Amino acid sequence: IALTEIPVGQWPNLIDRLVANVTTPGATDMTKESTLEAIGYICQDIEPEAIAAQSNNILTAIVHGMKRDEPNDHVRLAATTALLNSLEFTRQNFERDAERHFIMQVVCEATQSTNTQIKVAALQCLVKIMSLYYQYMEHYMGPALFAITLEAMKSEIDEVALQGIEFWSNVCDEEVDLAIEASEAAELGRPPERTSRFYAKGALQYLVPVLMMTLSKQEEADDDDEWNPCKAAGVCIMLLATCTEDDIVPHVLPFVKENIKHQNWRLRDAAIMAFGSILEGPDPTNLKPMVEQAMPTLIEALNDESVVVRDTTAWTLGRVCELIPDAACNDTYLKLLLEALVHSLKGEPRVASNVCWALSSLAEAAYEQADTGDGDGEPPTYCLSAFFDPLVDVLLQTTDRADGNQCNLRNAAYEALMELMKNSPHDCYPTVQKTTMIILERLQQVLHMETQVQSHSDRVQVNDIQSLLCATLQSVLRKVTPEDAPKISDPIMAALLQMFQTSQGKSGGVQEDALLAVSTLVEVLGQNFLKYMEAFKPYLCLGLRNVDDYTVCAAAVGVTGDICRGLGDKVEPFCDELMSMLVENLGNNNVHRNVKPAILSVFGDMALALGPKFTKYLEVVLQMLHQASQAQVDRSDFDMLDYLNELRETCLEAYTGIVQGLKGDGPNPKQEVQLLRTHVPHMITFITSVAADEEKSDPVVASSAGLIGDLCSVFGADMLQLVETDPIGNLLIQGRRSKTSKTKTLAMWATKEIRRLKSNN
Amino acid sequence: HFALYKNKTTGSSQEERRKMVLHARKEARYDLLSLVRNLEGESEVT
Repeated sequence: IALTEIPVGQWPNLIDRLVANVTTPGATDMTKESTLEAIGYICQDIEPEAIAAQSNNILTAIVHGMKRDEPNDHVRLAATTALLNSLEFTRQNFERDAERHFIMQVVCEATQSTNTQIKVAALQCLVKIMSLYYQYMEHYMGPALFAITLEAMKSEIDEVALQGIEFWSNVCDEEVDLAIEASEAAELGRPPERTSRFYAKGALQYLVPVLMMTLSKQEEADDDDEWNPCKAAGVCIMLLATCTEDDIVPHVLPFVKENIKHQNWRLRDAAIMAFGSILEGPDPTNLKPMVEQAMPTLIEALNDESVVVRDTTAWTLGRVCELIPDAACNDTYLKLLLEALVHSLKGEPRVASNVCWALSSLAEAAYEQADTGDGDGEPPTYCLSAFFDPLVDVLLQTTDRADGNQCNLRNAAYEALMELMKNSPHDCYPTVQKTTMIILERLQQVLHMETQVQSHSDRVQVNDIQSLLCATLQSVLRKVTPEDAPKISDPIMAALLQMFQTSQGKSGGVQEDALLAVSTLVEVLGQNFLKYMEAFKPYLCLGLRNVDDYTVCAAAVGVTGDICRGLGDKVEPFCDELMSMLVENLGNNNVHRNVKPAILSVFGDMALALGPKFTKYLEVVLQMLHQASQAQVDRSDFDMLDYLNELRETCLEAYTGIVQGLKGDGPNPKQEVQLLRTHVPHMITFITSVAADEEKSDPVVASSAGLIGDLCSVFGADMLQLVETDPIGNLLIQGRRSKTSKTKTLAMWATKEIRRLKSNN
Repeated sequence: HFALYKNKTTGSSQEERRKMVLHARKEARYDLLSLVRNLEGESEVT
């Protein structure tokens, strides 16, 4: 009731009454406990601003219940939990030294309670306080927090140890953010607003030994859903490595060297886990010799007698392949490593799954190593070429394993297969062709199985497989040459159409992946896709109408744009129907907001495809764009700011497509483009408001520059008075200084168009 | 930080695929418009 009434100014005396319940002498323990629980529930769920003004009162009650001399543990626990829930809106109290000292004192005292629940709740408070009020913690870190949390990390009680570790993981998160802030501030030539106190770096020598000890308390059984101090210690070391970079290496390395071949499997495993955990953060150049030195031991450890060690080793080798790939992609170790990985691929699902991930990273690294980066397409060969065909073969076998549903193995094997396809050089093309046919065959087989699906778990498995096959199909289709694509498209499209037919009303995941596969097919076939349009259109329309599953709807909108670009003016016979559904979706409040920017982009695609024939949709589309370009969002919400940038970018894309489409591709602009003349001032007002926004994204700057250039090239000297303004000038300067080459190119081009107009004027 | 651990062990492949398709789409739009705008010869450095 409080959650409903307080935000609208009702029940004004509630908090005073609750506080009195706790602080009035003679109040019973039961009343105090229940009242503090009620305060805790209110604080947990209420909008912080609705109650911030009462934070003094609330804290009075909470601190009263938390004090060391409170004899009743139930009261103290309820008070500590209430504090945990109220920390977000007590900022003003934390800003005042005396009040903060008092709060910190009661929290630190509560961490020393002999009651585990109180201790854990108080430690949780410290974890949260560290994230929320890092800047105020210097006074308490040395005298109290360091010792309290280090002691908690060593506790035999898992819940206590977890909070101790979590505290330091949070310190790392904060200090990584502060390092980013500092480097951004340095780039802009100003001091950062907040600075790091480098607690993690200072505490390394004390934290690392405790974490190493905790790493060797593994569970033998693998349960991904269980969170324990051993796993938390692994994550904490990874965060410490990211945060302290090279400084962590000398603290961890002695433990690794001493234990990597220890007779106790727990210590061997902890050593390998510690090694794998510090591979991200320190300078890769410094790590490389150390990793190379460890490679023979790691390769050998893939055959360790303990499955836990084999699992951790496969994960660590995956990290090596991802982060220090040169230590794996070389003449000395590559062959040995691949042989060991392929052997382990036949092992337990938990090991094999990590091996798949290692192979994915290896494929990506090998391709990158061979790619000259001069934009001349794929490299002729790479270091995996000699092994490519057998690797694909063994991965295909892995996807077929009866235990593939354990530990995400089937997914991981298909993912690895996709990475191998995506990152394949020219000399592996015959295997890509062969794999395409195998995937198609499997797709046809699984579609035949549709009739045999009986149980819910059968359905889930068949859906997963269909989804993965569609995804793999995308990766192979992207590699198929334009000459080969039409030769294989008929059976592929037939299979996809059959899948659309059988998946209606079933899994959104399958339909989305099938639509994404159609997108890729359109991309490789271009106008050759036209022959499938009549058969595909009903399913496309079903997708566009799928308001309940926005991922399917978004995929259908995306395919619509791809079809416009792929078919060009041949899309015209389908446009009335498609446009009507797109406009309806834009105006429909039940359509998820994430779908709407994509619809705006499709307007641009359609306008480009239809050229002057787009005029019949012009009025309605311009009206929609006018509305969308004026959208405002809650600027304190980062997700909404991202959304606003996306919406603006797609509005600009739509305007661009319309201007370019109506102008036509001949040397002289077509007459139809003049229909836009009255809308130009609005477009410029829109760009001006975008330009003034300090939080505009780089793609928004690029699209704005593109549209400015287009408008200048179409409407000539009349544009000068509209674009020669400070906001637009600054936007183009920002674009020319961008780190993204596309943005830079567009901003320079737009600047040249303006200069050209000025010199002609 | 359990979510970070879970992410480390599972990952989100469908999300990756979505991103890949969206990226390909952006590239295709840029390439198409580059042709129309005759941006081929534009220098990328000021």
